[in-house]
Amino acid sequence: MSSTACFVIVSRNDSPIYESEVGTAPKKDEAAHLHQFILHASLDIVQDVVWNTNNMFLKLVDKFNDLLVSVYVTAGHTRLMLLHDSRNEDGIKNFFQEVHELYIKMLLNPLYVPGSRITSPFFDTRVRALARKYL
Amino acid sequence: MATPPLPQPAVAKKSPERLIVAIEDVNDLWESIRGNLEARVPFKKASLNNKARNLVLVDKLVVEFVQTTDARLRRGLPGEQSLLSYGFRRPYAWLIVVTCDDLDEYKNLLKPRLKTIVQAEDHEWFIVFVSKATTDSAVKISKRVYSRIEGDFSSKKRERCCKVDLHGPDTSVWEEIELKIVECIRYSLDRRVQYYEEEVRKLSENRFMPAWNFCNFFTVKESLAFMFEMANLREDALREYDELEQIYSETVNAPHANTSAFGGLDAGDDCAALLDGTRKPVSQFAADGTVREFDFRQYLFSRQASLLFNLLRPAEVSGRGHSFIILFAKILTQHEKDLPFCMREIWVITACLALVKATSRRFSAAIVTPDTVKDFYRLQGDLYSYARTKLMRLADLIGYGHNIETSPCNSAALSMLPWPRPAVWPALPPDISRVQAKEQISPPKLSEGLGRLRKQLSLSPTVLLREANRRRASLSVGNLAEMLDLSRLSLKESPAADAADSAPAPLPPSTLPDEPISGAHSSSPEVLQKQNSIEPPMKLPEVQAAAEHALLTSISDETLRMALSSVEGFEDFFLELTRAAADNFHRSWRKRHGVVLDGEVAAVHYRRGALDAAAKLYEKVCALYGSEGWHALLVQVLPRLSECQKKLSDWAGYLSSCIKLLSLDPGPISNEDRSSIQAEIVKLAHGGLPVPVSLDVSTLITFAARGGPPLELCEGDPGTLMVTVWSGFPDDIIMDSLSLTLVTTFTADEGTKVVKSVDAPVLQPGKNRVLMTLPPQKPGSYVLGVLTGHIGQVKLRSHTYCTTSAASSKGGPPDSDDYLSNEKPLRTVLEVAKPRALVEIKPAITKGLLFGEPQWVGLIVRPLNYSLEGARVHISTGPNLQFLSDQTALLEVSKPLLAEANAPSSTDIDGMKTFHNMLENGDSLNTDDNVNGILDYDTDMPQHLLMKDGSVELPDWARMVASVLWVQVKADSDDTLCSHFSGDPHLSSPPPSPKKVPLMSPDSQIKGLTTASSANGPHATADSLHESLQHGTTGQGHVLPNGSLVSRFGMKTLKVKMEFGVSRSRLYERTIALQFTHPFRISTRIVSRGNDGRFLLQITLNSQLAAAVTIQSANLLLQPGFAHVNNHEGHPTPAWLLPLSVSASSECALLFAIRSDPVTAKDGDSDHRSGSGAGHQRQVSCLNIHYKVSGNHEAGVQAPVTDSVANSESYLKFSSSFHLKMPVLEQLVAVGMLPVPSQCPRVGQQVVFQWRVERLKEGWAASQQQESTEKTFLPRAHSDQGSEDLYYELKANEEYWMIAGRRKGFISLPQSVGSRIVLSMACVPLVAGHVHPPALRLVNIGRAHVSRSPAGPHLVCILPPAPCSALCIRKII
Repeated sequence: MSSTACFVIVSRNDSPIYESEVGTAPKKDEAAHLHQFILHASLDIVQDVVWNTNNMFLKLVDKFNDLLVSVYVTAGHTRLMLLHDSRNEDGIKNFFQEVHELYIKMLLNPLYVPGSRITSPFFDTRVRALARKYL
Repeated sequence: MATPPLPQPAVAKKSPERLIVAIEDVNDLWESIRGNLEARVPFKKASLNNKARNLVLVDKLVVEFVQTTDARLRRGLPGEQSLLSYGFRRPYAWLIVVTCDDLDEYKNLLKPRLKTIVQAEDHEWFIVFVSKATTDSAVKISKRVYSRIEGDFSSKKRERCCKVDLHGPDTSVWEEIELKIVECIRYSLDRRVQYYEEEVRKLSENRFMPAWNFCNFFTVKESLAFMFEMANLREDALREYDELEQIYSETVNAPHANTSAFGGLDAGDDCAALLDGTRKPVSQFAADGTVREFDFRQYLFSRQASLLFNLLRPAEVSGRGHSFIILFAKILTQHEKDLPFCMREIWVITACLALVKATSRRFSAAIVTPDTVKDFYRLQGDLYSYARTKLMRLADLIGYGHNIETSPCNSAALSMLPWPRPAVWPALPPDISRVQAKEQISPPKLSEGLGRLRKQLSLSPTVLLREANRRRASLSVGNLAEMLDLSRLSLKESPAADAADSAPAPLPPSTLPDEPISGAHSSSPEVLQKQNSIEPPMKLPEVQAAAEHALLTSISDETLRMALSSVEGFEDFFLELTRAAADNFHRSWRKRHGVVLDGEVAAVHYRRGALDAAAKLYEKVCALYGSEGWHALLVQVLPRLSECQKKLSDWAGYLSSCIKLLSLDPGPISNEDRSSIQAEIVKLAHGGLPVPVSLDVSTLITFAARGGPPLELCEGDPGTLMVTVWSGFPDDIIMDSLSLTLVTTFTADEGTKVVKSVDAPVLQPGKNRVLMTLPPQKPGSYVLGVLTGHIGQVKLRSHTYCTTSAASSKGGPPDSDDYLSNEKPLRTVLEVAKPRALVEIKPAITKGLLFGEPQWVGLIVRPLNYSLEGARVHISTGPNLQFLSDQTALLEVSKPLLAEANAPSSTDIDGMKTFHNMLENGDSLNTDDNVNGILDYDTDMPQHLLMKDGSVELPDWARMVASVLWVQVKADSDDTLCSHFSGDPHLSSPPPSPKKVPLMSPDSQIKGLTTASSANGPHATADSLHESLQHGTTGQGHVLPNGSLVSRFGMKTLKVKMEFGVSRSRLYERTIALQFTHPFRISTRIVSRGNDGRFLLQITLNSQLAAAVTIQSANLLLQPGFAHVNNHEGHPTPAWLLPLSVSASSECALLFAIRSDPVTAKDGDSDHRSGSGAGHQRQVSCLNIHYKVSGNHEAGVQAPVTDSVANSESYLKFSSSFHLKMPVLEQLVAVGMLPVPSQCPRVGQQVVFQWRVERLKEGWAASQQQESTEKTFLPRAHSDQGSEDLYYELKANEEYWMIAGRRKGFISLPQSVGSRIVLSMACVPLVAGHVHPPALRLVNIGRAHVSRSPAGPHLVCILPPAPCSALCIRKII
C-alpha cells in the first residue's frame, strides 16, 4: 500500500531546515510543494496548540482533506512535522521520538550551527530508515 | 394519569411558545386584575427546576394568561388531543379568580363550584380572592369569607389562596401572586418533565425493536425540548436536541437501517436551510412515517442554532456549523448520484455563507474571551475558504478554470477535491452558442519572463472529461472498456479522494478519479483531443457548456447564479470570498492562512490589471515566505510579484525581486534561468533605469575579513585589507567599483569610513578575494560594515558579515538563526593604534671615543613593534666630526648584552622573541613575501651595507628587530679652538693639549681625516701654561674640569634622520651626542730633590678610557732650561716600568729626574725671541706615549678602525705638551694684616686697617717678575739704592667698604732682610654683618713669592649703626 508522507523539520524561527518525502508513493513534482504548503499553513495551528499541552507530541493538529499533519515540538521549539495519510499514531510517535534523538545528536555537532539547514546525508539516511520502520 | 394514546402527527408550531397560565374567571373579575398581572410579565425572579432537578433562576419567564373559555385551551382538553404531543402546551397553572361578599353564598354556591373546578383536572391551581369591599362591614365580611376559603382550600403544606384588595393600598399582593404562579409552574413542569422522561426512556429501551419508529421518539423528545425552551431552560432544550441528533445518527448508520428516501430533491433544496427550520414542516416527517435525512438534519441543526443564538453563543453555532457542514457534505457525497447535479457544491457554498452571515451578525467580540474571538474568526475564515474551494470547483467545471490562479493553495485544494459524479452527466443544451463560447476561451498564456519559473500546477479538467463521458446516458459498453483501461493506468498514482472510500461505490474502483498523468500541459486542447480521439465523446467545451446549463437552470440561490453566469460575476464573488476568508484569518492570528489567501486576492487583482494592489499583496506573501525561509513556496509567488513590479515600472522592487530569486535555493530554479535573471539585472543596471537604485543583496553576497588577528596599522599609515566576498550570482559579475565601510567600535562620532577596492573587481560565483585600499585611518578598532558594489545605476549593498567559519567554508550565505546572530560579537578586522613612538634610535656608545682616530659609532635602531621595511637612515655630522659619506657600514642584530648597557634589556629580548616568532609563524603583516629575506639572515655576522651620501637602507631582515648600525666617524680634537683662552690667571686652565698622531699610517679610508687633524694639531697653547707651572710649585698639578663648554670636552653631535613607514612617509630625527676623549688626562708635579738643583717630575696619567691601555713607551722632551739628569733620552726613571698596562679608569704615574739647565734656557730664550714657530714649540715640554687600546667597539671601547687586517704591532701615539717652570724655592716678601683696632666696628664708623709688609730675602723682589709683568701696564717702579718701590693695591668690595686714602700706590721697602713697613688705610663699613675686609695685594710681585702667613681675618664683624637718640626720645614721649 502506498502512503504519502512528507517530513519537515522547522526551526524555531519558522524556517524549514530539513525536508524529505518519506512516503512510498511515487513522487510527483508538484506534490512536494503542495505538501510544503500544507505544512506551512499548519504552523498557524501548531502555534495555538503547542501552548495547550504539556506533551511534546501534539498528535494531529491539522488535516487537509485526507492528509493529516502530526507535529512534535522539541523543548527548543523546533517542530518536527509530518504530513501523512496513515493513522498509525503510535508509529508516528515513535518516529518522532527517534528523529528527535537524531536531531539532538545533530545539535551536539560543534560544526552544526543551530537553526541552519541540515545537510548531513547521514541524518537523511537515518530519517528515511526510521520512516520505513515506523510509518 | 391516563396512558397516552399513540402519538399522532403533530402540527408543529414554530412560533415561540410561551407558558400558559389558565384563568378560571368565576366571577368575571379577570379584567379588573388582568392589567396588574400582565404588567409583571415576564417574571423576573422565577426559579425553576431543570432536568437534573436543580433549582435554576430564570431571568425572563414569559407567561401568557389565557382564560379557560379560550378556544386554544378547549382544544387541549384531555381526551381530545394527545397528552404527549400537546401536554407540554397545556396550562402550567390555573388561576381561579373569585369574589364573594356573603358567607352563605360562599357556602352554597361558590364552594361547590370551586371544588368542582379544583378536582376536575390534575393541575396546579390556586385561588385569587378579589375583594371589592369599600365599607368596613363589607371588608369584614370579605375577610371572613376569605378565611373560610383558606380553611377550605389551603393546606398546611401549601398556600393556595391569596387575597387581592381592589381598593386597598397594598400592592405587594401581586408579587405574591407571581410567586404563586411560578410555584405552580414549577410543580407542573416537574411533573411533566418526569412524565416525558419516562416516555423517552421507554422508547429508548425499545429502540432496537423492529417496530420502533423514530418519529415517535422524535415527537416525544422534541416535546420535552420545547417544554424546556418554553421554560427558558434552553440548555436543557439544547441537550435534548443533541441527544436526538446522536440517536438519529445511530439510527441512520445502523447496519440494518432501512434506507428511506434521502430527500433533497425538492425545488430550492440546493439552497442550504441549516438555519431555517421553518422551510419544511417537520410534521411532514411524521406524516410520512419516515424522516428524510436531508431535511431532518438541517432541521435539527437549525433548532440547535436558534437555541444557541438565544443563549448568546454564536461562536458555538459557528463551530458546530462548520463541522456540520463538513459532515453534511460527506453525506451529500454519499448520495450524490441521487441528487441533482452539483447539489453538494451549491449546498456547501450557500450553507457556509448563511452560517457566516448569521453568526457574524450576532457575534460580539466584547463579551467573550480573546481565545473565543480568535477561534470564531478562524471558523469564519475556514467557512469562507471552504465555500471558496467549492466555488472554484464549480467554476472549473463550467470553464472558468482559466481564471483561477494556479497557486499551491488552489492546486492543493482542488487536487484533492473530487469532481461531481452525478448518475448521469447533464446533456448538452440545445443552444450551441454556449459551446462555441467555451471553445473560444483560450488556454492561459504561459507567463513570460520570470513567470515561467512558476510551476504549472494541476488544475486540469482532464479528469473531468473522463468523468463526464463515463456518466453520459448514451455511453456505450465499448467506450466504458476504453475508459477503464485508461483509468487503470493511472490508478497507482491516485491519492485517496475524500470520502471516496466510504462511498457506496456504484462503479468499479478502477474508475476512481485520478490526477492527470501528463502533468501540467495536458489541459491544452490538443492533448485532450488526442486522448479522446478513440471515441466520439463530449469534448471539453461541450462538457463545460452542459454543466453550465445544468447549473444555471438548477441553482435557486440568486447570488450564486449571478456569480456563475459570467466570468466577471464569478471573479467578483470569488474575490469577495477570498478577501473575507483572508480577513478572518488575519483576525484569528492565522497569518499564514491569511497571507496565502491575500496572495489569491492579489492574483485576481493581477488578472484584472490592478497591479498596484496585486503587488502590495504579493509583497506580503513574499515577505512571509522569505522571512521563514520556505523557498519552495516563495518561488511560486516571487515571479508574479516581479512581473507586477516590472509592469508598474517599480524598478527598485523588480530588481530586488530578481535578487531574491537568485538568492533562493538553487533547486527550484534552473541555472539558465538564474543566468538570465542576472543578465536582466545587469542589462537594467547599465541602461533603462531612470534613477539610481540601491539594492540589498545581503542574501546573495556575503563578505568576511581574513581569519586570524585583525590587521594592525599605526595611525596615519595606509594599508590594504583583504576581504573575502562570496558571490551568489550564477555567473561572473563585473562591478564598476566595490567599496566597504569600516565602522569604528566604541566611538559614537562619525563612525564609518568608506574604503574602496583596489581595482574594479569581477566577482566570480563563490569565493573571491578583494583587496581594499585603506587610506590613513584614525586610531581605533574597526569592524566591517556594509559592502557596496556599483553596477551602472545599481548600487548593491550587503550587510551580511560572515563570522562563523563553518558558513564561510561552505561559501554560502550565513545562517540567520537568532541563536547566534543576536549576541554575535563583531570581529575587529582592523586595529589602528594611537600615535606613538614607532622607532627609537640610540647610540650604542656615547663616550670613550678617541679623538682623532676613526671610530665606530653604533646606532641602535629599535623598531617599536613597527615594521621598518624599506627604511632609510640618513646620517650627518655636527661640527668637528669627520664622517665619510660613502663608506661601508656594518649592521648587526642588537645583542642583549649591548642592550643592557644602554636600554632596558627586556624590550630587546622581546624584540628578539618577536623576531624569532616571526620566523617561525610566517608573517603577521599582510604581505608575506618578505619572509625569505628574514630566513637568509645570519645573526652572527654583521652585514656590510654600502652607504651613499650619508644614507643607508636597512635590509628587510632588520624591519622588526633591533639592530645596530655601525658607522665610522672621526672627531678632531678641538683644543686649538680654545687655545687663546685664559688671560685671567684666576680661571682654570684647559687640559694640556694632547696630540695624537697614529704611529701607523692611517688607512686609506680616513686619509682625509688625518690631514685635517694634522692641520689643527701644531697650534699649541702657550699662554696658560705658566699657570700650570705655578700650580706645580705648590705641588698641585690637577687639571680642573669645566663643563660649560661642551666642545672642550669632546662632545660631538651626530644627526640621524630615518625615513620609514609606508612610502617612507614617516620621519624620525635625532641628534646624538658623542663624547670624544683623549686616552689620558695628565697632571704634573714637580718636587725639588735637594739643593742641588735637581727635581723630580711626576707625570700622572689618568686613563680616560673604559678599556685597558697598555703603555708601550714614554718619552719626555724637555723645554729649554731643563735637562734630564741622566741624559737617557727622556725615558722615565725606572726603565723596567714600561710597558705598563693601565686598566680602565685607573691612574698611573711616570717619574722623570730633571735639572735646570741654564744653557738650554738661553737657547730657548733666543729661539723664543726670534719668534719662529719651532722655537715656540720648544717652549713647552712634550710627553710622547705609545700605547695600545685593548677592546673592541661593541664593548664600547675601541681601537681605531683599521683595515680588516688587524695589526697587533700598531701602537697609538699620545703626546701631551706642558710648560715647566723652575719651582719657587723661597718667598721674598711677607704680608700680614694687623689686628683690627676697635672690637666691633659699626656701620659708618671709620676703621683703620693696617698691613705690615716685611722683606724676607734680600734683593729685588719686583725684578723677578719683570718678564711676566711686561704685559701689564704698571707704572715703572722707581727704585732707590737700598730700597725698592713696591706697587700695591687695596682690593675691597665697594658695596661693603668705602676707602679713604690712597688705594693704589708704591711703598718703599728697604732691601735689607727684615725691613718692614706698615700700611694703614682708613675704611668705612657700609653694611652690617660679617664681611670680607679689604685685602692688600702687591701687584708686581708674583703671588708665589709672597708669604701670607698668617693670613688676615677672613671676615670682620660689622655692627649696625648706633641708634638715633632723637628717635629714642620721640619714642619715649
